[in-house]
Amino acid sequence: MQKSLFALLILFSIAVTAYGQLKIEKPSLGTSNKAFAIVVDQDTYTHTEDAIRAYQKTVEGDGIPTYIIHGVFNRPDDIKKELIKLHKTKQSLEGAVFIGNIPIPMVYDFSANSMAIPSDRFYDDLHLNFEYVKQDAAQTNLHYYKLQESSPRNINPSFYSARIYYPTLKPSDSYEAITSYLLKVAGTRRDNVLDHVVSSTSRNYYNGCTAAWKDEPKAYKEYFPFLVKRTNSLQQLAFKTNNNASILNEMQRKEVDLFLIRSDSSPILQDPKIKQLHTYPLYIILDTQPAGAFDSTAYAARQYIFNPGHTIAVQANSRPATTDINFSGLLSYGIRWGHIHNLGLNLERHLFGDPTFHFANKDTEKLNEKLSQEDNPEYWRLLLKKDNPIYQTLALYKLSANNATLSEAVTPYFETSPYRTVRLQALNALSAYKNKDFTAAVSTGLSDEYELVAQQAAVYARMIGDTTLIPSLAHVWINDKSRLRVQQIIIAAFEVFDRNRVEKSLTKALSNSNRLHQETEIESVKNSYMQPSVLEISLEQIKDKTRPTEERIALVKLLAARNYHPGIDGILDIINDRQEPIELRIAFATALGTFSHSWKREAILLNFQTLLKSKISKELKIEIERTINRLN
Amino acid sequence: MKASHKLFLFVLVSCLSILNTVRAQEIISPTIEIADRSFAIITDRSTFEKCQKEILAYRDIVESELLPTLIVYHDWKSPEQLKKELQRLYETVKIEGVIFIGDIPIPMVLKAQHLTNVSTAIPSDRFYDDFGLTFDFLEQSKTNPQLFFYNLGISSPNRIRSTIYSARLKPATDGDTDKYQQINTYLNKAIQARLNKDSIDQVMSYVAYQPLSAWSSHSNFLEEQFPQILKTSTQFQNYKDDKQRTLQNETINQFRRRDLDIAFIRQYPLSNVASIYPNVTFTIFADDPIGNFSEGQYSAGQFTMGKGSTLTVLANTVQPTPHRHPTYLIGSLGMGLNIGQWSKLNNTLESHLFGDPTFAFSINSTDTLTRYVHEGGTKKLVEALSKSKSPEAQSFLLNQLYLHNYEGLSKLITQYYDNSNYATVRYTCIHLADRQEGETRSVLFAKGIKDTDESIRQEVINAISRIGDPIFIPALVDAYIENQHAEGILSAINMALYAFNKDLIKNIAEQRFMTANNFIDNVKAKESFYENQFKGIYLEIDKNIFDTKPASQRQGISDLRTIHYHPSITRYLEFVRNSKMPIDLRIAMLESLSCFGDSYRKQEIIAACKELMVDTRHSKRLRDEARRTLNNIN
Repeated sequence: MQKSLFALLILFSIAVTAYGQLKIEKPSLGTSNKAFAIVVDQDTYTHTEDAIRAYQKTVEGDGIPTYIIHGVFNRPDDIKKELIKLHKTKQSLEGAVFIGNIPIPMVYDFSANSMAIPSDRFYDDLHLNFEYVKQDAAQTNLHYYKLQESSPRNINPSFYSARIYYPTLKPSDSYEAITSYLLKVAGTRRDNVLDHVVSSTSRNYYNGCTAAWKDEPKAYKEYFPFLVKRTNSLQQLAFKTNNNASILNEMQRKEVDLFLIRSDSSPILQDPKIKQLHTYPLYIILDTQPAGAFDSTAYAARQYIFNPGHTIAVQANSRPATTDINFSGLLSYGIRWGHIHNLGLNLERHLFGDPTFHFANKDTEKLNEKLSQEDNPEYWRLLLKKDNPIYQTLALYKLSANNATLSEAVTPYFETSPYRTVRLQALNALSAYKNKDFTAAVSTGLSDEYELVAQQAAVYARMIGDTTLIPSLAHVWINDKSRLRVQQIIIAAFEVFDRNRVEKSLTKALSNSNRLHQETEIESVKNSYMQPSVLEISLEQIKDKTRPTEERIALVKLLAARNYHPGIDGILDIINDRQEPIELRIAFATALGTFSHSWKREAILLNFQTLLKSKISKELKIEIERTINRLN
Repeated sequence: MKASHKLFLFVLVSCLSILNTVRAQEIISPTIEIADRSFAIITDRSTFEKCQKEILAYRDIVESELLPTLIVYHDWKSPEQLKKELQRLYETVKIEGVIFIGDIPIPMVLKAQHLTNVSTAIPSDRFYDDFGLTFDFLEQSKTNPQLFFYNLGISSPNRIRSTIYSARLKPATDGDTDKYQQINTYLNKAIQARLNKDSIDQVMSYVAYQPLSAWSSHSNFLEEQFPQILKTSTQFQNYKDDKQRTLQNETINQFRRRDLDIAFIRQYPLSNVASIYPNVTFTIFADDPIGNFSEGQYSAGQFTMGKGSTLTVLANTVQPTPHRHPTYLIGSLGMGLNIGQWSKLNNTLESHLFGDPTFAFSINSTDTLTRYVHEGGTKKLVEALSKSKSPEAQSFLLNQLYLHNYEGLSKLITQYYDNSNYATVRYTCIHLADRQEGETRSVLFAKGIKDTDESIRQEVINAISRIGDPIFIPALVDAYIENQHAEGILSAINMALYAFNKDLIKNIAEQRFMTANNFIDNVKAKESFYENQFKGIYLEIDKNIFDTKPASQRQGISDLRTIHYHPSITRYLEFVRNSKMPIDLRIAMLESLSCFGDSYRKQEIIAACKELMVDTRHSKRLRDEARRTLNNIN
């Protein structure tokens, strides 16, 4: 009821101003720096004009020429058109902020059959090509899009964007909230040193692994070199399932600059109580679900910026997604939050608040400038040589994301860097190459002294499935019982390999150990590997032509979801088999799309290339091309 | 003639002269020349006869690392007899340490409540290795003639500072294996260990219960102390039990590892030791009293002497005092110190080494400390400090400067505290500041209670409660406000505040909570603080002491050993003076007051004791006890 009423209201307001002109006010700052665009709907503009100007003045005071674009926007495309124009000018664009009621693009995920995700990547990633699907019938500010087949799949934003959005049934509330917020931003100094950090993560986030919790501050010390030397400068909240009281209390601390709340399921975060709260940390990274779902009027992230406290921005996801905080070090150097937010971006992650904001500038590399310029691999190569984990992390990301370096150049940073965050970034960078260097790094990484690297390596090991990884996995499984989370991932990872090999490796590792109950443990491994696994059975069943097609499709989905690499050859045989029903072959091709890091990826691609050259149906061809895209 | 030659000759002469005397101890001189230090193997005659070949072989292997080693055997009649011999050897041949093999009299120490956690007799070889301590003989046990009971001497120093290190090789007598056979097996194992020396690159730690953030801090300490274990995760297996899983069984597998250098164990119920076959080179059992060698069967003995290549164990003979830092300076083991040299720095009345104390791991640090172990020249130590890079070398050298009463220490620890990024170094500065009085201590405590590291904050808070000066109350209340997420610190503050006046705490809390900015509801936070703080048995101490029921009184007086309630010292002293009170209670009160050695009101206790000592209206027992208390706290 409320939803539709709200939609009606929006419709009404659109109707009133439908004939209004789109207006672009030019920056008052004369400089060749890249520009920033404030995009605001006409009604909000009319009611908050003074505050918007004050905000524009503040951003310009920080050296960014700032446009104000206001008008009536019926569709996301109306805005995108203008942004593209500005981006194409010589001055170009480094970022934009969407104030008020700006149409919300709902983007279907790149993989097939999923729900639409509210995503401003529609606006800020100009490389992606979208196709309009429809407007939401009930909530008319939602517009559905899907990616064109020809569009690139990886996200590579052209500039940063953020929202200052206060959805409400009463427009005057929204105007008031936005005015107060903008004046707050205008009144907040940008020379605040990032020297107080709070972090809260619930037990579940680490699967209850205390070693993971303990290792986390080691990374924080690399991210935040300017922390004051005092008890509370780096506050890691207790390892609980419910941190309600602590979160509320920490939100009151005026000296806190950054509050990281990740996968925290503390009930308070969803509680109405938080709505009346004044929050003081300048920047909050709120990785709780669905804090950033701005297609819903009650999205939680807004509570933190629209209150009289000091909070300037919140980063949150519009739908469940992983949050990578490995670039947080750049916050310490005074890089604009928008720039940092854009690194390793996905469809879901959004910034709420002013994206031009930053902490005190401590950077000797003029990174704000470098990040808004076209990527220059030479520069990132130079930056990588600086003995500084924050710079190296950024350089590794930039070089690998743009394919601007060989994996051989990244490997040494993984193998020898004393910085945990650099090793983590190097491992992630290597994952893009999907080659022997990556597999070797994963093998070493399983016993990295930094838990997060080991954990990530175990996840990758499962995705790769190369049998050469089995001995390392078995070694860590037997000899590194201190890390619960890694242990859990490894035990699950064993199922993606050939069982005979796993059994042999485990038996060997146990025999080489001097464990008290070695004999019984070996016996128990042998017993548990005597019976075939569910996945082995499933593989046999998908080959069985007497079974119903739907059942075989369900089974292949299971094999794919569980990364069962030994099944790949069998699945390919079925795709190649012209006697098989076409919908089965198509579904099997789709399933193989999940093996993007598999050691058999080349084999799949080779098989597909051959198949594409043969005579196959159009539908199968399209699906194979799509799968090739996902594998690349 | 060089001094060392003289020493060598002296030993020879004394040997020869001894041969003429029946029942005197036999001494076998080192086969290498004594330069600046030596080591002594002490054993009984029968053990020597049964294990002669192995003992000599052990001597040879110790000497192969240039530590001249004497063998002394005798049918020891009493601890005094042996101690006298040790003192003589120290004077003449500069023994740095000893190993007691076989049947060596066991000193059982009483009246040491201010040095330990228990009031029962403590088996302690500090009798032998701390030449500063004095003891008053009580009796030889009738049931076990090896046990000799002593009171800590009335005028004995009130702290442990071992002159030499000592270790025991005492078979656990289970009736099955011949005890001499056990010794021989062990000595062969010790010889073998020297042939396969390794650097410290594999360490493990186990703790059953510990607040997570405290565990995190302790882990960080070990990582700073042994930086080379940070290469891969398997090199530092760091176990902590929690609700989801217990790692006790995995700890047994760790004990069995053939490549593990050091295991650091807390709260581990060591049972069925015989089946473990441990192989760890050096294991520290930090808190369970498994080292009670006055008993025939004791786990530390079984652990060391059993099958498996385990070399040395550090364990306690009784439940130790909490809050100790059992691995203080342990990183020096990676820089050339042998196990005995390190353990001596950290000795308590109840801590003991079992097995070979002369074993040193291969050095794997750019800093080498070997030559500073016996260096008394503070100038050289300061110079070495300025050149040392690793945190643990810095800590060790600062500690040496303290031991040698370096007059510039205050300045140095302030400087190192302020500039070091290493928690272990800052901890050392605070630890040493605790032993200084006045300005340096106050300044460092004020900083230390706000340190980023939890162990450091804890150290300061515990020290503050021992001192009891109300000027520290604001710092404690602030610490409460700032440590909401450090469970271990909150409970330390809770205990510490019991030592202060409730109204004073309230006065300060009223004001501090109002200006706090980290509570959503300051009033509620304050009330919850009051509710937790102003309840429990430790608020009842005075009520109990001044009760009429002797049982309550006794309880209250005994609680004073845990909570030093400084505000009522005047009343406690009145209690002692009050001749209407039962004499046992008055003496018990004096015993408890002897734990107030760090109190800011110590002078009042001293004055009262001085007066009581000479006041003949009081019984001799009371006067003696007053003298003892005076000495203990002075």
